[in-house]
Amino acid sequence: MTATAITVGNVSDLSGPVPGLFQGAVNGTESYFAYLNSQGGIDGRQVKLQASDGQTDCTANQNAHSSQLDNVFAFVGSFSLYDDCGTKVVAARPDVPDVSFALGPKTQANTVNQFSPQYLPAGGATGPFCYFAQKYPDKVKAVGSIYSNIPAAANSQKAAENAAAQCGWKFIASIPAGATDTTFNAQINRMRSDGVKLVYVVAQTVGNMAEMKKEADAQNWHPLWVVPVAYSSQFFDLMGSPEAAEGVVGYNLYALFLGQDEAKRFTEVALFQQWMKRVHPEASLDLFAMYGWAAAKLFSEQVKAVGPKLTRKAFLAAIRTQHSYDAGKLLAASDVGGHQPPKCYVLWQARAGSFQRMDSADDYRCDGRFVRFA
Amino acid sequence: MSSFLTFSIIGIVIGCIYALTASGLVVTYATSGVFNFAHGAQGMFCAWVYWQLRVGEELPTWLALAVVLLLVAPLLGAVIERVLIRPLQGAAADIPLVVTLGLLLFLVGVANLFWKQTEVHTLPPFFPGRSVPVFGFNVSYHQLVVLAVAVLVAVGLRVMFSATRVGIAMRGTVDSPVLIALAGGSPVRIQRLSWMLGSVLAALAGILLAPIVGLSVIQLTLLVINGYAAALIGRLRSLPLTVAGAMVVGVGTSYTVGYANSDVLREMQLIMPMIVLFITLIVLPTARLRGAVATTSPAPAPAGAISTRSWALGLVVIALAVAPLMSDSLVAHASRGFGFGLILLSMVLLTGYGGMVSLCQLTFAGLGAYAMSQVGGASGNPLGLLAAAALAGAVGALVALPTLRLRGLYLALATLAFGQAMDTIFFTKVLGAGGGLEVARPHFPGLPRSDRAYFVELAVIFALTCVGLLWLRRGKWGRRLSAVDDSPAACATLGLSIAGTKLSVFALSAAIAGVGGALLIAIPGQGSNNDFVVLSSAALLLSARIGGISTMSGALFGGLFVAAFPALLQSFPVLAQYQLSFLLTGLGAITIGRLPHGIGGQIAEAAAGLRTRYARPGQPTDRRADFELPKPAQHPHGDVVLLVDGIDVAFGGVQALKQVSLTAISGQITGLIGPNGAGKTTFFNVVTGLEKPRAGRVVLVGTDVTTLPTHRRARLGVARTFQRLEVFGSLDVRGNIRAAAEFHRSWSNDDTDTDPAAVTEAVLHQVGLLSVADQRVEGLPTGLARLVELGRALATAPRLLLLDEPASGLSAAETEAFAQVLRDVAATGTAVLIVEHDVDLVMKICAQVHVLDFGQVIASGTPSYVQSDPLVRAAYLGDDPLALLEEVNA
Repeated sequence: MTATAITVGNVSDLSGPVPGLFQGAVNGTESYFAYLNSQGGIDGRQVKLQASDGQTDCTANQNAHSSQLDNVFAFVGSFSLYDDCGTKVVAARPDVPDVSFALGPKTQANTVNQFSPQYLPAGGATGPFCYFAQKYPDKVKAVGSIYSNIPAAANSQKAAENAAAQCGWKFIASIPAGATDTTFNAQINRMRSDGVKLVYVVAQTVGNMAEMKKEADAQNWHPLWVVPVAYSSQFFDLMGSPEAAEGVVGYNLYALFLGQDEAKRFTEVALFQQWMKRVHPEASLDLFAMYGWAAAKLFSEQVKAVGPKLTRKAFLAAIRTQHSYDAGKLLAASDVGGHQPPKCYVLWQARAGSFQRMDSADDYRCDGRFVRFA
Repeated sequence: MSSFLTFSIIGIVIGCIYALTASGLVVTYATSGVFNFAHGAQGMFCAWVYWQLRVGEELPTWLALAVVLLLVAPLLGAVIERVLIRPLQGAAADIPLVVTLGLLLFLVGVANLFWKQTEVHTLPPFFPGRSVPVFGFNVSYHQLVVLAVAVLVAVGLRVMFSATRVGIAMRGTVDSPVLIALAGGSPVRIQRLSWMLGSVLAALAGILLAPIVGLSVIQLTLLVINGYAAALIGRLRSLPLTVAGAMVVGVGTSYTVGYANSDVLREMQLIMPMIVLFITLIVLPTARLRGAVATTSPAPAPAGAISTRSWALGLVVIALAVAPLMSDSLVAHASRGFGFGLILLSMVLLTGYGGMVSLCQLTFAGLGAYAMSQVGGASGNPLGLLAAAALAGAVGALVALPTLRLRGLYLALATLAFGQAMDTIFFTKVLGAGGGLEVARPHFPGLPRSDRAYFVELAVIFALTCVGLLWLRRGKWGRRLSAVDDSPAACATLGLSIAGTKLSVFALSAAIAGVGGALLIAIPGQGSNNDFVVLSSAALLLSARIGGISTMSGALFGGLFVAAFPALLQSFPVLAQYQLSFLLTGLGAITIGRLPHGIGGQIAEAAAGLRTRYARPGQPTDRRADFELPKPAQHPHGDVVLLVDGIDVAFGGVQALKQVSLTAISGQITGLIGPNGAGKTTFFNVVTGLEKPRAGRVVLVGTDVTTLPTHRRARLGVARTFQRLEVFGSLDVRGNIRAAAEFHRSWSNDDTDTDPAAVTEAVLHQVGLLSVADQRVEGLPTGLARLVELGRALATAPRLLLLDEPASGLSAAETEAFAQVLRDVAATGTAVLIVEHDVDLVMKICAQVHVLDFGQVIASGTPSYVQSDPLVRAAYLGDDPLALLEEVNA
């Protein structure tokens, strides 16, 4: 950090089996800082981002963190499947703040210098499940699901089932699919023959989810699709037509950042969309960019709160007092400083080729609780 | 019932996908002898090119199809054949595997370079939105097209391979390119055509399957793995059986999804293709598995003890010297180089020395890391390393047990199935994601704890493992290992139970991989299931080949090669955009065909060349003075050692042996002569248990051995030589005979307990091989190599010695000396049965001669009696049959 600049680091998976996997995290963080710098920076200091590639690899992630550790003020907006590996390095230097989305359990457990813009441990918010239970009491008694048999996805599935059970959901067909499975006719037919009325998909890729829906449609089977994983700019393209996606519903613990409606509702969504388009016009909006933006905003707000005499110690003290952060409504609010998860959510439905609010609420719904899953 | 029918139809639809991918695989294998790991990647690449033309450039469907199927795919096949495949003639079994794996990585890299995987690309199906109901399941027109193409491909290619000249030539090229050339064909042109055809089939599959499974680089590339089981059911040559196999796998998967009501069964569904693959490999008779025998060139001779210790010490000194000079991240990368190097050492042992190919070494590494985490705990108790070795070694032995009879490609596929199953049902649960497995570095009391200290510790462990492995390689166990790799058949006929040796190698190799895995994951201290996926094992084998799979330095180079990519990407992030690791690894595969022993092998050869150049000329070592040479074992004379009664052997419709009966008497030399193809070698194979007779019995020294395995017969006192040499090429002459003497000692009940070293020297003297005792057998002239086989057989003190054309390749003087050796052997009471075309020799040394013709004994008796038999003269000695007939009549 100098009198005119603050340099922050970012370690995201940019290469590996899926090249550019979390490029969005870098894009979102860069876009926010570009916006911030256009407004004069913070106390006369411009914020510079120094991004490194975590290479979707444990050692590489650690190395990237180690090599940046003494050159940056903090880590901001990182996103990696191996963030638990980087956390080992960061935790060993408790003076260096890390303001990045915490994906792994060890990263989430670091309450000393790791602050996620939205603290999301394993578990689920009950609000959406209770909403659907109230609206579709018969359907939630016959739920089917197909989930990916990889560790993170299998855990997400179990956590969601646990939260759903609090609201009376009953999973009668919960079927694992292999990592290379790409046709789901047998699984669809199994759910159909078991009498499934509601299909819930959270622990799958959006591509596989779209394939499931298309295969079910081809068999003239039309259960209720509650599929949070579908919220992606790719979903309608993958479905092939807006009609094919019609009626799909889901919920987010963040705003509907892809759409214009939400941009009118929340200024921060409009800013996010506008600056992403300006800084990375070729990139599509995604969840990782949104979390990168939210992390950069959280970081900047805490720096501003500390004032010109910025130190790491003062920064950490400030961020620990941040008990309700929602990134200007971009996220459902969570207790960042206290490391507590959100309980609010947004309901959506696919209609006419876009994601729209499912209910009449203009804001987040906050009528449930977050159930942790060990 | 309707539900059952629906699941059946779904299974058939899934089966069609497997059939389409497996058919191309079978065509490539049947016509080129190469199991193409990159078949899916070729299809993937062509599907992307089709997308670019059809969707990107908006060409009409027919034109895009024509360009890809008639131009791009054949061209791709031709280039692959020219650049990668042609240099692989006669290569070891795993080399085509790893070369095509390199091609897979290269094509993945190219695809990622041109088409962003984070964007959505879709290929529309043919006849979108149209379907036809079949037993409650709407089969889309596109799926019907896939079904039709799968059946047409199977039928069409079957007709082509059985009824057309080019098809027959394609199959023939694999079995004998020389014969094809003699018949006026061009093996090179035919092989090129085969690869072009395989490439077109891959493209067809890619284009048809992309609308169903999605246009994803990884998924399209790996889709073919589920077709392996189907291809193996088709024995890699029968397309109708392959389609049937695909249906078995598809329907089995569908039923498991449809009716599984427990977690265990649901997980079975995830690995159904792998279960079928594993069972198929275990159940299919070995004889039906063509190509199961590796044609590996022997590994370079191991370095001497002093040279090894100096090399190891040098490595540790270098590590100590550079550790303080390196940056933190470089220390981490270099440590990973040693970690991977240790896992590669397990491949050196298994593949480089043992000739066995495993594609699940990282699975053992994962088990080792898991054991270390459980036993080593947070403090890094070094006992964790023992636990890592024990767990990985035990599982390695368990895997080896059912796969012992498999070699080459089939063993590789069995280990792939095991690794994939472990990945899916064990690692995903136990190891967790993204660094969930915590593995502490082993802490040795008194040593400092730091990244640099750990780097040096890894260097020491690597160096000690090298020293240990080379010590083993130079010793009795190493000779046994080399022998099993060079000639399993010879080992069995010398009384060695190959199973035990293979089991021990597999277990030790797995144990080393386990320790390597524990130490590797302990570098960052965290691991996950992603670190041990089975395809990474295959990629690691590729690195081992690039580094050199037969040498310790090769393992080090290979390890550093793997570790170099993350370091390069960290220093030059822009390289990630260019898919550096994929492209370079793929390009590295090209070198393998040209440098079968890799970089390490090149260095070893260069060093050996220097040693030879500057070494003082010396005499072969004569160690007779070091031992009290044993006298040859004495056996009673005049006993019936071998009684063969009414043996029948048939190969298909050809009767190779018919009601053959004869005896061999101790102390006598018995001749077995006959024209080429008379069945002499088949007879020896029946006596030694390498061939099973359809009828009849074989009695050795009073014991009916007709159903006994080869090594059990050898332990009753039968030894043999081979018409086609079966020497241990990677050992020297002394090593060949010493190995046999050691085998004999390991199973012999002989109370005299003769020292194998002394037996070796006595035999070297007896057969006149002292002057070449230190020469590697691989390069010996045929005549000398035959004497090595004889010496090796004599080292087991046989009661019955079977010699298959032992004098071919010998000069007249050598033949004379050889005859005396045989007389001496017979004088000890050994029964000698000799097959020989040198009729003068046979007539000179044999007491009895049997003549075989068309599988039947047509004459038996003393040499003079047989020589005068008109039928023998007609059949074998070349007289005019009509003149002979007149002579008989007169």
